[in-house]
Amino acid sequence: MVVVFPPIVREAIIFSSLLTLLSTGLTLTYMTSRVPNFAHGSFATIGTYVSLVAFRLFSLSPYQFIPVAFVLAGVVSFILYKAILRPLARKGASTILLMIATIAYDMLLIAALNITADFLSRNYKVTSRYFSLKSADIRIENIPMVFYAAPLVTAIVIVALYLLLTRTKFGVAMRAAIENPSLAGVVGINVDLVYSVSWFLAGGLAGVAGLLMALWFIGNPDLGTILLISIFTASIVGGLMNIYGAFLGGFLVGFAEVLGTANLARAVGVWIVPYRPVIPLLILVITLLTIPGGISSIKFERFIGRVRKGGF
Amino acid sequence: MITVDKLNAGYGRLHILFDVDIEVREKSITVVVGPNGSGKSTLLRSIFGLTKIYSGSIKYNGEEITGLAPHQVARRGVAYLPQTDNVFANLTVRENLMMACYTLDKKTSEERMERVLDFFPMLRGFMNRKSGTLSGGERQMVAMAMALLREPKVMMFDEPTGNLSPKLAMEVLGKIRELRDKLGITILLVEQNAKKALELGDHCYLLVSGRVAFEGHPKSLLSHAELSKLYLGV
Repeated sequence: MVVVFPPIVREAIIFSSLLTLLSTGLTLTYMTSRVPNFAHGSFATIGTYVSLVAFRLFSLSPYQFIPVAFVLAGVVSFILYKAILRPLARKGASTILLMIATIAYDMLLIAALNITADFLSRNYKVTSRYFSLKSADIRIENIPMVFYAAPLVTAIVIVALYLLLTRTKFGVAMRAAIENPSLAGVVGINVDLVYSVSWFLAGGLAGVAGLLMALWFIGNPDLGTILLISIFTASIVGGLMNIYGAFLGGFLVGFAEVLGTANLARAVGVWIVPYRPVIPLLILVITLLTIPGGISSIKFERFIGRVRKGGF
Repeated sequence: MITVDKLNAGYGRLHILFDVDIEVREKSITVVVGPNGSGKSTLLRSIFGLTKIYSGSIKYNGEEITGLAPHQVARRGVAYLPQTDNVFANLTVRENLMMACYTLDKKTSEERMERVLDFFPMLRGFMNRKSGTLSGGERQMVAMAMALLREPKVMMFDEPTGNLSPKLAMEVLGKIRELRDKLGITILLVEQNAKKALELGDHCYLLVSGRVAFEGHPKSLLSHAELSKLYLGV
């Protein structure tokens, strides 16, 4: 029996899956270098434009360009770490200064994305702003493939990251370097290499998320910037220092944002839709006020223990 | 083995060590003692590439290692056990030991792991426990095992008995003595517990305000009434 989800649930599943990919990357970079990366959204937009180029210029399925989006956004993220953040950190730059550096880099990326959009529309007569690539998607029994691809890619990434971090020597070294960089250096781990890989992975995952996003949402050079609030909220809800928390945060915020907006629109009118970012902002405020450490800081074992003892 | 010559080092603009000369001899225990804030830990951190070196040189077996990154110093056979945070608290003991073998191939890692676990048999019972849940003494043993796995030629200890009960402190110092006697490892030991450490040492230095105030045999320092009373409290 095939379960047919209503379109709004489909959108929630796609959005939260992709948001999970994005928040996982943001959490990974925060864990390694303690810098809130404001350019993370634009890494996703790079993937969105890879999708556009694949379909409009090469007449190929965007899915075939997943490795391109991964590598391209990964390299852009790696450059931010290696060429800007690391030299600044070595000179003793504070977290605030590093954060401002990511904002400056984001501005550069947005400018580059706008130039790319202009270049595509002027030279190739491609609609490169507010474009939709829904028609580029493959349909399986009349359901767009992204509905399956987004959660599948996210699930693969979650499992792969879990296996990487717990079953491989390099993954355990990543955890070690995140927990105690100086001790990691002491035991012979090349901490800089570990961080570089983390930044590359984070950017790559954002690129893949952006590529898939173009198959369902409207693409524009500022897509990533608009998503930034949701990405940060998902990471903070998850705990910011816990990669598994980011998975939970991504799904929680994604579902709340899509279903919340749809229900509010039904209740008070469609004028509310542009105010959609208020939902993640509210979640952010509530989280910071009630559980500033995020979901991963909750001691569920104690909670279950109390419930068993009849404490609640 | 390790020669520190006219070393000036610190953190940023905070100058801590002034023209420090130290000689660590092969297969011996060199003890560095001194009051709080005298620069003992900074000396070890400087050898290991964790501070800013303003001038001077650090040589290991005649090779210049001044300013090398920690992993580069580690790969030359120098192990450093920091005073605190010397194990990865969120990793299990097994994962900690695995990280200590990071630069080794699988076969060598397994062989060394067996040897080290024979040296620290108590660790066999903790392999799947997170290091953060171990007691201070147990953590110190994990840290020593981690250092030993890399089969270092030199081990640098930064106050290994800090925060340990007297009984555990004696056990740890006993293990350090075994490292020299049974495995022929050169030891550079920084200790607050001056008397016990000096009894263990072959050669010693007294650091005061970032400068070497005494160099010689530990017995000479212990018998130097003024210095031991002023700076060591013995």
